[in-house]
This record gives sequence, structure tokens and C-alpha cells, in this order.
Amino acid sequence: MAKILVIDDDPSILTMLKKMLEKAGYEVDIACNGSEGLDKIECCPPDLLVTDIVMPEKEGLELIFYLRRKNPGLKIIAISGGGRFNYEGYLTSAKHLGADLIFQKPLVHKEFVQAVSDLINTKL
Amino acid sequence: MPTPDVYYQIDSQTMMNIFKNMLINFLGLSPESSGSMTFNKLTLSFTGYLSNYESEFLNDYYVKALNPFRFSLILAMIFYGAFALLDAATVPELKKIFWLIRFAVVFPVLLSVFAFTYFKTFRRYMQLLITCIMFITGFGIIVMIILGARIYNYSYYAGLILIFIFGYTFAKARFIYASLAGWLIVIAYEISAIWISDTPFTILINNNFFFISSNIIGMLIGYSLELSSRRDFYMRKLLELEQDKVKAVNSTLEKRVIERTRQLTNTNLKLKKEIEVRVRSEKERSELETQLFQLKKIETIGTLAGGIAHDFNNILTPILGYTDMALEELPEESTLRFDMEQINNAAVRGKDLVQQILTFSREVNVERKPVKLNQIVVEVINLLKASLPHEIEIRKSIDSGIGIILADPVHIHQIIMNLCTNAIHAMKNRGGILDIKVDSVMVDQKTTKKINNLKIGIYVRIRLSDTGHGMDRRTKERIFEPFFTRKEVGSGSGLGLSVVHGIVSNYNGAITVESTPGKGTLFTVYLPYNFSGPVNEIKSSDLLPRGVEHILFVDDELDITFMGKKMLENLGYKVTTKTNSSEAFEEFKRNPGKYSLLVTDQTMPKMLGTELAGKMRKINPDLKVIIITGYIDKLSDVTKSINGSYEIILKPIKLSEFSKVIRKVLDEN
Repeated sequence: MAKILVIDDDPSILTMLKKMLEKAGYEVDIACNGSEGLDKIECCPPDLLVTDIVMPEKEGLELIFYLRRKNPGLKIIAISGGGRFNYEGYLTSAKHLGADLIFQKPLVHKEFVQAVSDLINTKL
Repeated sequence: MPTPDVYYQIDSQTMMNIFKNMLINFLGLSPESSGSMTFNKLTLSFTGYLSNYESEFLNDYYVKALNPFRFSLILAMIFYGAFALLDAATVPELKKIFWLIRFAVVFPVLLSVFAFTYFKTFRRYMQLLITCIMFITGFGIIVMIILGARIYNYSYYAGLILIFIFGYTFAKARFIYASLAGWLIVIAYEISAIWISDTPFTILINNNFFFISSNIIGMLIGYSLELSSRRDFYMRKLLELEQDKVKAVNSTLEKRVIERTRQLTNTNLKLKKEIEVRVRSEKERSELETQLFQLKKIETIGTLAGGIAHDFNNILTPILGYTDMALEELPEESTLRFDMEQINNAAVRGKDLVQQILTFSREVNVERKPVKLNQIVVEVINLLKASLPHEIEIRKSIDSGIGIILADPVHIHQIIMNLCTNAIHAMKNRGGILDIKVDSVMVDQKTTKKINNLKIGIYVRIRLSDTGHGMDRRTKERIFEPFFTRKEVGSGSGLGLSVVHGIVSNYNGAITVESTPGKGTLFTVYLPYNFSGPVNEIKSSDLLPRGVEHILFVDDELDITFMGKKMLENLGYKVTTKTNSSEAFEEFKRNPGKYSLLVTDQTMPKMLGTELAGKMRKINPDLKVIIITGYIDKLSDVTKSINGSYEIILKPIKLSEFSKVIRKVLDEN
């Protein structure tokens, strides 16, 4: 069973995503900020990381930047509700930094689950 | 005996001086009366610097003397005739011969001269004739004296005195001629008295006293009269000269007044222009400030909205996620299903709204790819036509040379759609015309000063106008604010135009609005024309006409030459730019055969574009010319300076037109 780690500072999103992905048949772990997520990745690396961007402690872009060097094989999906960073937006920056897929919140359920499945089955 | 304190010793020298001074004063020769008049003391003719005036004086003297002379002739005849009575009384025995002299000799002479005065040639002989008349009349009397002496009558010499009076005064003879005649008469009398008539000595002495004295007095009078005439003439001349001087000074003054008035008028005009420019720039500044204020306000609202949107998205995420999951699990027949669907739909609406807010606050991700702008415009128009009420007519004018721009097609779609929807909404009650124009323009410094956000360069311009209800200034100022709407509740979110504004700003473009209440509204969208777009994907039909010729591009604004060079080089041409007309001409003189085309701004310091072109044409008559100008009305004056044909491009420059004109000009024979 593929392992997915979800990082988001919003507990309702976190529990919703956990439920959604578990329903889709994955083993899901959660973390509520970047630092906690990084600890969990180092302790027990997942097959896929789903991370929010605007978070306290360590935010998503920094995390992606770090993980892409440290753990290039890790598949990453970045999700964000917006927020001002530059003209191109957070998600575009996340993509530039190495996120495999980006999703604008609120997520479209079926689309998201399908994308997760496709990405996990892709051989990098 | 008292001794006088002072003895006056009067010697002969002093006496002479006193007499001389008296004479000089009598004749009017003193410096006080004659001033700086220079003349010959004997003949009285003008000398020195006045000699040029002699003939003019004589002419003037003649004109004034003619009638008095005629009168004196008549008077002479009357007197000469009247004395015939004296002949009959005093010398009846000689009466016949005397009358013969009077009426057969002297009278005809006087009459002939009188008649001759009416001929033009008389002017030349007047003085000579006066001399002759004096002498002839005098000689007649001398003959009578000789004849009278035979019968011891010596009284006729007095007749000669009358002749002197006439000759020196009334007859208007000049001094020198009258004196000549006078002395001739004196000599003739002396000859006749001494040798012919044998006049007794005492009578001769007696007669001579009176006779010569009267001649001398006559001479002095004649001298004085002529001198006085000359002095009058001289004074008149002086006066005329002074008048001329005054006139000249007056005319100079008038000229100076005119010149000064002209200068003042010019200064006034310049001042007026300056004031106009100031008022205009003040107005532009105030408009820019308003624009800037609006932009700032929109930006602030955008930032705020962006922040809210972020939180909203986070809130919506679990709602949508859980409802989706719940809907998957709920059986088809469940009564909860409908409720869950309603929650889900509401969340989706919320999601769409947030998406719009994000677009407005520029938070969406822009994926730029080559887009056929014209195609999108046509698509939107077709889409709208389907649902358009027939009172609304759509007109379009699309420049086919626009080709491809780099943008997100969804965004372009949104811009056109939103603007069109608004326009249609503004006209839905009374119908009207929706006019869409698409072209490309060269934005110059002037335009950048008027519209915030624009930089010098080439832009695609979309103009969308309606003939709807229009809007007032206050509405216009707030039109791009999010949630600002004039539509009734439920017919629009109030985000449409703010979304358009957000998209346009995101592309570094600009949007302006002009509107008149009751007449309609015009929206103008500027999007940067991206030259560095993927040329490979552009079909040849989308391309602007190209070429490889060498073009000399002249404009005094560096930015414009830079842009011109970039633009023309993108069309394949070789380009040399100059920002100074003199330098451009020097460059052309060095390599006259190198350039096929001159593209020049018309209004430049030192030399107008047309003048520059004219000078270059003299070196190379085959040089093609394109003049860029902002003022069509000024061109009619300048067409003369170019020898041959040329094309005009009006500012702001439309790229497609420009490229076509260049090709057309270069391909002309």
C-alpha cells in the first residue's frame, strides 16, 4: 500500500484529506507544519507528499526546495488556497521549485484523487 | 571847464567799420539774418553746399516773378503812354516823333514780350528780356532827351529814374541783370548828354546827381530784394529739411512702435501658450493622480480580497471534500442526498467567486502561450450573437495584422466577454451599437504620460464602445472596484470589470474608460505586443509584411528610435537610428547609396523631417521617404520642401499599418 504524508496547518483540511485518501486506499500520515512533516519524512519516507504552502514554522516552498535536493525521488503535490507572494503566485513557484503537481484549493475531489493515483503509479 | 572822463576817439577806420556794418545790416548780409547761407556777394548766386539749389531757386523765382512781371509790363505801358500827354504839353513841336518812339517802337516791344510771357521758352529768356526792355525803354527816353536838348528841355532824364524804379523793383529782374541794364542806361545817357546833346555843365551835374543816385539806390533795393528772396528760399529749404528729418524720425518711431507691438504680441502669444500648456499639464497631472489613486485603491482592495480568498479557499476545501465524500457514500435513495448536493453546489459557487476575486487580485497563475487574439474576439462575438437581442447591433473592425500574442486564452476570453456583457447590459433597454476594434499601436511618451502603467512600446489595442446609458464621473472612477455594480441585485456579482482590470494589469497592460452619460462608453484595453513570442508557431499569413532593406530611422526621442529599431529589425530590416537630424544628414552624406528608406519624425529641433528628406533627396533622388507626424494639419505647409512623393504615418503608430506602408513604399517604382 502506497504511503502518503499530508502536511497542512488547517486541522479540518488535514482530517478531510486523510479520510479522502484513506478511502482511496492509501496509508496516510499527517503533519500540521513543515518541521513536523520533515521529521516524519526523515523517520519514515512516504511515496507521496501532499503539502500546503502557507504554514507556520517551515512553510511549503522551503520544504519543497529542501526535499528536492535531499530526496529527489519523492513525489510531491503542492496545494494552496492562494495568498500573495509574487505576480506568478505560490503554486507556480512551487512548481518551479520541483513540485510534481499543483492544486488550487478548494480541491475537486475526483480530480485530485485521480491525480494522486496517476502520480503514484508513475515511475520517475 | 569840466573835463570829460572819457574821450571817444573816432578815427576814419572806425567810421568805415560803422558804415560797413550799417550797410551789411541794410542789405541783410549780417550773419544773424543770413545764417549759414553761402552765396556770391556780387551775383548773389548760391555757392558751396547750396550751389545745387541754384537752379531750383531760379525756377522758384521765375514762378513767383511771372505775374508781377506781367503786371509791371502793363503798368510800364500805361505810364509810357500817359507821358505822351506831357510830350504834348511841354514839347509840342517834338510831339510827333516822341509819340512815334513811344507807340511805334517801345509799345510793340513791351506787347511782344507780354505775349511771349505765355510761352514756355520765356522761362529761359526772362532775365535777358527784362534787361533788354529796361535798356530799350531807357534808350527811347535817351533819344527823347537828345531831341529835347535841341529845344533846351533837359527834364526828360527823370523818366530814366522811373525806369530804374520799375527795373529794380516791379519787373522782378535779378540784381545782376538790372544793374547791367541800369549802368548801360547811365553810360548811354552820359554819351548822349555830353557828346550828342551838349548839355550845359550845371544841368549835367544836377541831372547826374539825381540820376546816378537813383540808380545806386535802385541797385541796393534790387540787391536787398533778391537777397531777401534767396533767404526766404533758403529758410524754406531748411524748414523742408527739418520737416523731412522730423518725418524720418516719425517714421522710425512708428516702425519701432510697430516692431515693439509685434514683439509684445508675440510675447503675449507665447505667454498664452505657456499658460495653456501649464493648464493642460496641470489637468493631466490631476488626471494621473486620480488614476493612480484609483489604482492604489484597487490594489489595496485586491490585497485584502486576496487574503480573504486564501482563508475562504481553506474553509471551502473541507466543505467540498466532505460533501463529495458524503455524496459518494450516500445511497441514491437517501433523503440526505438532496441536502448534501445543495451544500456542495453552494460551496462550488463560493469557489467560483473566490476564483474571480483571485483573478482580480492577480493571484491566479498565468500561463502564457501563443494566442490568436483575433480568433478569440470573433469567437466571443459569435457566442454573444446567439443570445443578443436584435435591437443591438455588433460591429467589428479587426486588424488582421495583429497575429499572435502571448497570453492565457481564458483571460483574453474573460476580458472581451466581460466588456461585451457590460456593454450589452448598458444597451438592453433601448438597443444600440456595440463596436469592437482591434489594432496595434506604438505607444509614445505622450500617451504614457496620459495613461498609468503604459511604457513606450508596441501594444495591442482593443477598443470596445457602446451607445448605452453611459455613466457619470463618480461611477467612472469606481468602475474597476470589486463588488461595485450598478446592476440590480442578482444580475451580476460586481466583479466583472475588476476582474478585467486584474487580468490587464497582470499582463502589464492598461485599461481606460471614457463615458458620457446618455451617449455611451468606450473601454480601451492595451496589452503589450510580445515580439519575442514563439515565431515558429506563427503561420506566414499571420505575419506582418517583412523585408531586408536598410532603413534610416530618425526621431529626436531616444525611446522612440530604440523601439523603432527593435520593431523594424523584428520585421527583418537593417536599421540605423539617429536622434539628431544634422547627424542623420551627415551619416546619409557619407553613405548615400546604403539606405533605401528614410523614416523620420516631422517635428524635430533644428530641421523638420520634411526638410531633412528634401536635402537627402537632392543627394539621392531615389530615396524613399516616410514621415511620422502627430499633426496632420501642419503637413500641407511642408509638402513643398520634399522633392517627390512620400508617405505619412500618423501617431500613434499602428504596427500593422506601419509595416504595410514600409513595404508599399519600398516596392514602389
